[in-house]
Formats: sequence, C-alpha cells, structure tokens
Amino acid sequence: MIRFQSSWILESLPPDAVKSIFLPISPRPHSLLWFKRLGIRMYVNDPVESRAVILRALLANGYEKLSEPNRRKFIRTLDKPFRKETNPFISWEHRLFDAQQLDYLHYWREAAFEISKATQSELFQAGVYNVLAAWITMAASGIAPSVPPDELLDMMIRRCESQLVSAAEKIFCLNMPIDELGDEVEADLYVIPLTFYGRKRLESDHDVMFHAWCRGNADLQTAKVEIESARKGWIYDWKTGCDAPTMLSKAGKAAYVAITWSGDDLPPLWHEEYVAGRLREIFASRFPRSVLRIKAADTARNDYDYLFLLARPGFELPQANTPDWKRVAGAL
Amino acid sequence: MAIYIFNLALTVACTWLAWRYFDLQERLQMQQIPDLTFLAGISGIVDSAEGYADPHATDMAREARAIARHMKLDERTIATLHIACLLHDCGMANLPREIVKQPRALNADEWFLVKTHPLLGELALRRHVPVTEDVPSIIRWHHEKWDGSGYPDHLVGDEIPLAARILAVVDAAASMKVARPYRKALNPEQIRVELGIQSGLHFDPAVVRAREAVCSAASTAQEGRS
Repeated sequence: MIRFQSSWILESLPPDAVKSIFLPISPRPHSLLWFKRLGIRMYVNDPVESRAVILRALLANGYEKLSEPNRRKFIRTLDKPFRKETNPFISWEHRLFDAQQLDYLHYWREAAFEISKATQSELFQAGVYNVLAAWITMAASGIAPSVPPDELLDMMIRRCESQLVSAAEKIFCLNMPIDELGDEVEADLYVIPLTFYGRKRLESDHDVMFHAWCRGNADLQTAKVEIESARKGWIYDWKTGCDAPTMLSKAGKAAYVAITWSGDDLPPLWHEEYVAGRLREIFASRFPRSVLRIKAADTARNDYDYLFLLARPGFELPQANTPDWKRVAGAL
Repeated sequence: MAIYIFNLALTVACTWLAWRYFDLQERLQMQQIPDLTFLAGISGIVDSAEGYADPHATDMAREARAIARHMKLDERTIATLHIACLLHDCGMANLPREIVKQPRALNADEWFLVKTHPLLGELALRRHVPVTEDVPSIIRWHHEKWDGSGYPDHLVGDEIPLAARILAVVDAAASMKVARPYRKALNPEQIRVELGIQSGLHFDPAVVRAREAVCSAASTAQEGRS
C-alpha cells in the first residue's frame, strides 16, 4: 500500500523548482494526473505491462474519448451466457464473482483485443480496471453490485474520460524492464514510490486482479509473482532493504530526489532509522542534503506517510509550506 | 504457596501499573485536544461564508461521532473526527471568492481550483492550527472515494483512513439535505437510499451500514419520546 500524494511532493520543494519528473516505476497511474494537470513534463515507466496500459490510457492520451462506434459495439448487454469451458476466469466463480460478471470479464477481454486503435483499447481497459476495482471492493464487503455490468463499464469509461486533460507538456509513458532504463534522463525531480512486500490478500489487490485479467490467466499467485519479479529490488524488504545503488544510478541529472512510502506496521522511528537511514547512506554521495517529512494518517493504527527528499549540492530544501491556491494549483 | 501468592500479587500490581500508565497517557493526549466549543464557533463562520443557513459542520460532527461510537472507535479518534468535521471545508477560505460564490456551473479550470480545497485546508491547519496530528490528513482525504474515483490522491478502500471515510459519508448526507440549483433537498429516506446506491462505490459499506443503524436507532428513540 502506498498513498502517493503528488501535491505533497510539489509543495515540499521550492516553488517553480520542478518542470519535469522521472519515475522509473509508477504508483497507481491515477495519482499522477495532478502532475499532468499542472503541465509538468513526465517520463513514467512501469515494467508491468498491465500497469503501463493504464498509464498510457490516462497520461499519454491527449483528449481522445471512446468513439461512438466502439461504445455502441463493445459496451453492450450480453444476450445469453457464454460457454463456461472457454472462459479463462471460470475459477473465480463463487469465490469472487458470479457467472454473469465472469461472462462480461471474458467478453471485455476479447473486446479489448478487437479494438484496433491502441488509445481506444487502452481507454476501454482503463474502464475495465475501474469496474474490477469496484467489484472487488463490493465483493469484499458482501455487497451485490447495484448497477448492471455494461452500464457500470460505460460509467467508468466516462469517468476516465472526465479525468483526461490535454497535457501542456509531453508525457512519455514507457514499459521497459528497469535495468534497461538509461541513466541519461534529464528531469528536475526523480521520484521513487516505495512499496513493501505486503500481506494483502490477492483477491483484494486491484493490480494483481487486473494483471491476471490482462494476461487471461486466472492464477492470482502467478500474477503476483510476475509483478514482483518485474519490480525486483524496488520493493522494500525489512530484512534485506531494497536495491538502493541501482535506484541511485537512475537519478540522471535530477536536482532533487523524492522517495515516498506509507507504513502502518511500525512506529515512525523505525521507518526513519531503517528505511530513510539506509537510503540516506547510499544517496549521500550525490545528494548530501536530505530531509524526512512524516504525516500522520491514522495515529491509532500507527499509520503514517513518509516523504524523503534529497537535494544535490547547491539546491535548497524548504522548511515550511504556504497554504496558497496559486502555490498549490500552479499559476492557472 | 507463598511464592505463588507473591507472583500473583506481582502480576496484579504490574497489570494495574500498566493500566494506570496507559490511562494517564490517554488523558494527557485528550488534554491536548483544542476547545471544541471555540472550534464550533469558527466552523459556524465558515458555514455561513459558504452559504449554509444551518450549523452544517456541527450537525455533521454530531452524526460522525454517533457513527464512530457505533463502530467502536477509540475516544481520541472520535475527538479527532469531531474536529475534522468542524474544519473540513476551511480550505475554501483560501480560494478566490468569485469562484466559491459562483452561481453558474464552473468551468474545468474553476473545478480544478475548487478541488484544491482539501489540500489548502490541510496545509492551513498544519501551518496555523495546533490540532491533533491526524486532522489535516482527514481533511485532505474527505473527498476520496472507496472505489478510487475521488480526489486529490485517488486512494482506494482502506488506504483512506476510517475517520476520513466517515467524514465523506456525513458530508455527502449533509449536502444532500440542502437544496442546490440543480436539485431539490432530499428527505432522510431519500438520503438513505442514495447512500445505499453508492455504498461500495463511493462510500465504505461498513460506514453506510453504521449510519443506517444510528439513524434507525435515533428515529426509534424519537418515536418513543413522542
């Protein structure tokens, strides 16, 4: 789990210091829309293809909505049930979804391949991601969906469309193994969203479920392993830490580094000492100035968010933020 | 036998000391919570600036407390939630007045600005008001939605702290009670139905269920009195 807060990162750096951002690994793509809205140039990579699809749908897409012919053709009510033998997600029946939902998941996956234009297909898949997220949360709460699947997909695609804005600056969405990323990216800010090996149930993990759907393979454990192996070294392990030297090697010419994570397992002192402390040791060679910002989310559960900022020599790290809409929202 | 009694007495004494320690710690923390009457007054000023005739935020705080008690949250979290309800829209004060008071539909840029109010509220509180440390975060996330479609951070499910999820439900219910240019005010039954439809999409189903239980208990008690 990570509560990635784009505005917190920007507020914590000097005004106008960030014109471009590089993320070698993406947080939930929706949380990057803030940067896009403020006209910041972005270089975003995700080594997991299912995540990169959503990245492209929300960030690379200029302002293209789902065309009316595609909407009419692919968002429709299914007249009769599909044959169960052909449905790759049949093992989810009764465990997660009912037969009707599985029919739609099967049909939507085939539809996503049938839509020839990439931006159209990606937008369609982003809608499916949102439907899956809604169904998963409802299933976890024992609630039957109140909206039919086709209507829900239409609603979710329209919601994605409403989030689209034309980017003032170019946004580069990549889908490359992290090792193959060059270290020549020239961005002002280098951002690392740090996640931890979690205890979350696979059935309630939206990314694992969506990855399984994209791959057409219902085995959630396989999906989890694929995601984790693509991000190996970039997920924090309390025993071994993370691959901080590789992280540092991707910093390019960035003036600032922001490493952010959330934790509800241990008190902040542990995060300060072990996570920030280890990262500080490695990054100090090129980023000698650093500050750790901590925000309480729910102190009763020891739930805090962390933002570890580092700066190259000659660049300032401000102490306080000002509540001013021009500062928060940029000069609109 | 004597050793057994001694060990027993020692265990009881240690347990009592630990209980006293945690009790004192909780009391000390509660003492740091600011004066709620004063905050309620300030929130009334914000409400009237926003155009609410009734004590909107105070009503929300009352409902949120009832829901939180029903969900068996600890006293400190309940107090934190109460303060967050009173101050939830304080970020609006930092927005240009011509946008807040706009009678027509807002354009995309104006909407974007309005959507910064949770961030402005959070920043203002962190900087100017020495409230308990969770309050600014609750305010930041009071427009987040259970299915991830909210703002500003698109958090999903239990990534959103429970207090913020409760605030989201009571804020939605309170705003449905008030007529808007595009719809009439809803009655309690219509609000219950509307929240039920959005349960699992916009709102945490457990919070919606808790609100239903609280409202139904309140109406039963009112019928009993009348």
